[in-house]
Amino acid sequence: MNFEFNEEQKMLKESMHRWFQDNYSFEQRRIIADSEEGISREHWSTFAELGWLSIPFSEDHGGFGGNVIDIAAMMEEFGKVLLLEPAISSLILFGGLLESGSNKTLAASTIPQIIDGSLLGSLATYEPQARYDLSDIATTANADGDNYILNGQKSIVLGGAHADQFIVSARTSGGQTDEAGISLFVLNRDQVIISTQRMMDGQVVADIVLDSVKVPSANLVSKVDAGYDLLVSTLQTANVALSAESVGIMNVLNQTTIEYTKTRKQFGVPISSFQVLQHRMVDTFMACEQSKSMLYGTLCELTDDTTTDHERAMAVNALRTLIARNGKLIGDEAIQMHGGMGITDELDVGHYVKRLLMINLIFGNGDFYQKRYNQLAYG
Amino acid sequence: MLNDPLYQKRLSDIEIELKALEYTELRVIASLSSGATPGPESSLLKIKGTEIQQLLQELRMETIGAHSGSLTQEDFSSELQQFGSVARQGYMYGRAATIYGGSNEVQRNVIAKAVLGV
Repeated sequence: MNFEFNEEQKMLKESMHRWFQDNYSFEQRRIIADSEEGISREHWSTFAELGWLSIPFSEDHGGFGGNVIDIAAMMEEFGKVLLLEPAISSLILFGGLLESGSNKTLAASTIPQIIDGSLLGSLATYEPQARYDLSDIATTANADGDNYILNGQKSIVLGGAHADQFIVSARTSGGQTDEAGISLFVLNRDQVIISTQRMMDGQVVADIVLDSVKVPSANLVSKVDAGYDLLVSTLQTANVALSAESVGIMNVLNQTTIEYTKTRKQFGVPISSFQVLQHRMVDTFMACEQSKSMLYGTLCELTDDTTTDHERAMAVNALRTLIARNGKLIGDEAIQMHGGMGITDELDVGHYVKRLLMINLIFGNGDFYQKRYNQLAYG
Repeated sequence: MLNDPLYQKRLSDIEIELKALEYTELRVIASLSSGATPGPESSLLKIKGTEIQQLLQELRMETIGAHSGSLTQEDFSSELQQFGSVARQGYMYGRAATIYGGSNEVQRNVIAKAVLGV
């Protein structure tokens, strides 16, 4: 990547943009957001027909064989329309874990169903006591012949309200916060107890209880006790995806704010003529450009074979830190410059801001990623 | 000092912004090498570059502590005195960066007009 998407990626973005223009206006999106599931399965099938759902998957499984740059290109467009459908949970997390897991039989039977849109998946890993700690897993999986018996609970499971299957992390050995001893299992929806809640960004998420759930060892995504590294690397991709989504959102917020200040009049002139607002809009413009640069630079680093794991982790932590800071600035300024109507339900601005807020709260906030960066850089 | 969480935060605040600026520069260079001419994005580079420079100069002065107040210019009696004096000079001279070459306020006017169209 030479700090620009290639022709193929540009064409993909262009065709997504056109489809969204016809089918995903803010009013059309609102109808989906207000529905019980909070997503459109009809749209999801269309995405499958358009080939979008195949992008992150290898050609072996009938996928497009896309890398993290293709994922980012896609997610930027999803951010621009505040896509409600479960790209992160079903494609990046559930699908990504299966794709990189060692259980090839399970991947071969499941991934084609994700690609054709018939199966929605979700990752249930964070627990109520864990905040953002991926290794804090109290859910247990005890061997019972050729099966495992799972007990525990998972909270704020993204895409959990409509998932047909879940990947659940559980402890097969070790203490509650040990990185070793975590295993990943595929479960069916009817095996778990689900309660749903609606979040401020329109997503319907789930809290899940596992009450003596019996799972065959054939449903292990990877080797027993070795799930942690897989979780970390998959979350790394998800964090890049969320960052790309954020960049898409930042672009829209800045553009919308500029347009608004040109039309809103005060003291007989458009408020965009006031220098105090101009300079603030320049600051949010620069924040967006810096975020975009960091995203593209990180994509270059991640797709360079000579980049070490340590450098990859540092790059993604730096990216998420910057996106969190700049997202907050851009969101706050968009609301302030729109005036009180910036947080009304009628206007799209508040919805974009709420999604940015939510992105900064899932998997880790800015401080969490900056602390991790500091540990890697100075520890 | 490098183990102090607050110091680490100040350092990485700068480091992360600097990394992003490096990538912004590479983006500009990539677009120049494909035939484009330098545009108003050079104002962005000037603003961010000088702001980051000043943050770094400030942190350097605070890192060395009270020694940064030293007015000694030559015949330094200790390494600390030398570091301190150099840090102070850098900080003081560095204040000019956001003023010269078209002050950062003028650069913001340029971006507002040429890029944002307001």
